[in-house]
Amino acid sequence: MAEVDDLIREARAEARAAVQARLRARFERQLMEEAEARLAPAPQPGRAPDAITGLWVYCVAGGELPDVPPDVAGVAAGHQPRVIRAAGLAAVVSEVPLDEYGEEGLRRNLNDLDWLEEVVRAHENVLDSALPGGPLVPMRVCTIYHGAEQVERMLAERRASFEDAMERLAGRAEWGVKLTVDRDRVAEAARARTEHVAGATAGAGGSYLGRRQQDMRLRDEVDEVVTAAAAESHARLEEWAAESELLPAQRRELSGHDGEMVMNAAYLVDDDRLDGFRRVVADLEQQYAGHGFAFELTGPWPAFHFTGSAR
Amino acid sequence: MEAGLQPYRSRPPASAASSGNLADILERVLDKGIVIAGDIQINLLDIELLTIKLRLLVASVDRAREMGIDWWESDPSLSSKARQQLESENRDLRERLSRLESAAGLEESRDG
Repeated sequence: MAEVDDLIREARAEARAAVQARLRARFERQLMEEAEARLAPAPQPGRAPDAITGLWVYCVAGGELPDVPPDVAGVAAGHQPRVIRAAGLAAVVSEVPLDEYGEEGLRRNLNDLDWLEEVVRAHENVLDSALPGGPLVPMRVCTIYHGAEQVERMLAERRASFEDAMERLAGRAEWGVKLTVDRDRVAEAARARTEHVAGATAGAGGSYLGRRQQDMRLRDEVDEVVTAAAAESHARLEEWAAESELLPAQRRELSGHDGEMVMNAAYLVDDDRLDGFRRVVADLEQQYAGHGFAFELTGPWPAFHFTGSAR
Repeated sequence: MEAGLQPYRSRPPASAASSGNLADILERVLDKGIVIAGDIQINLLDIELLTIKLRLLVASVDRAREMGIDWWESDPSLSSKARQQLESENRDLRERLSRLESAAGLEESRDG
């Protein structure tokens, strides 16, 4: 009996060892794969990464889009933007080296503001150069294909939605209007008004409590004036626009604006209503400029805000 | 007054973008325009683009949530909640591994 027990014990020990070895090999393989994936996410075997380029797409326009002027630079140095024509459409593209613009490179570079600024300005500049050539559908940055064949296929597959978008944009352009305010000046004006009205009773502000109440009233009044100015401006501009979109106020670090930005909006304006739209901006400026407000009109922009980014 | 009303991005276009406000350009080219998944894996890029957008353009996290942007809730590198999740997941996996090992009778060799 003891012999059988020994046999069983031995067999169990051997089975354990065998299973252990197999499990171990499996864990080793798994861990190795994980470690490799983490250490070397990049180059595919047999290809020198710096030799590969992709095609950065700037925009899609109608087939009649003229070629890009030779003095317009692309996002990547030394690669001139050109036009690919297919399916009755035109795509403006330029080569980008994939070591810099591949998935890995972009992850690194997009968080470098200097790099980003250069790229987005170049992207915008190419779009600007194509803008007079008819309605165009701007791409968000970093739309990159492996080659011309893939771009042609994309044009063919999405032809209908591009044509829809261009139809909507024909004869129109995007314009930006921002309203900034110097609250101190609005407060000054409000205080002057109050004092003028209060006149003889000005002495009431002498006590601490009285001054505090006055300050609070003043702040409320400034808020009211500012809100009303922004609302009126947008409402009047909107009347002249085919579509509009209110945007978040910009960060001063990037925009460098003075005062506080209280309105930032994009308007899609018909070319034949542009004069009226400009006149409204001029009227608003005249009405508000003396009261601490400043308007800024920018454009024409490619219709970034009106091409249905969700499509 | 006239000076304030001149679009500073006047044509000819070659000089336009270079003089524009970076915020004006970023709020357009990062955030807007047609979004098509190119051949370069865009799912990762989406996250990167949004990272920048959030940092540079969106005034606050609340505002971003209003806009329906909440990816940082699940991005392990950004949210401590998600990091905790990841840690507890790791712990679970380790426990499962040791259970498997003991089921396979490996606990003795570990002790030894």
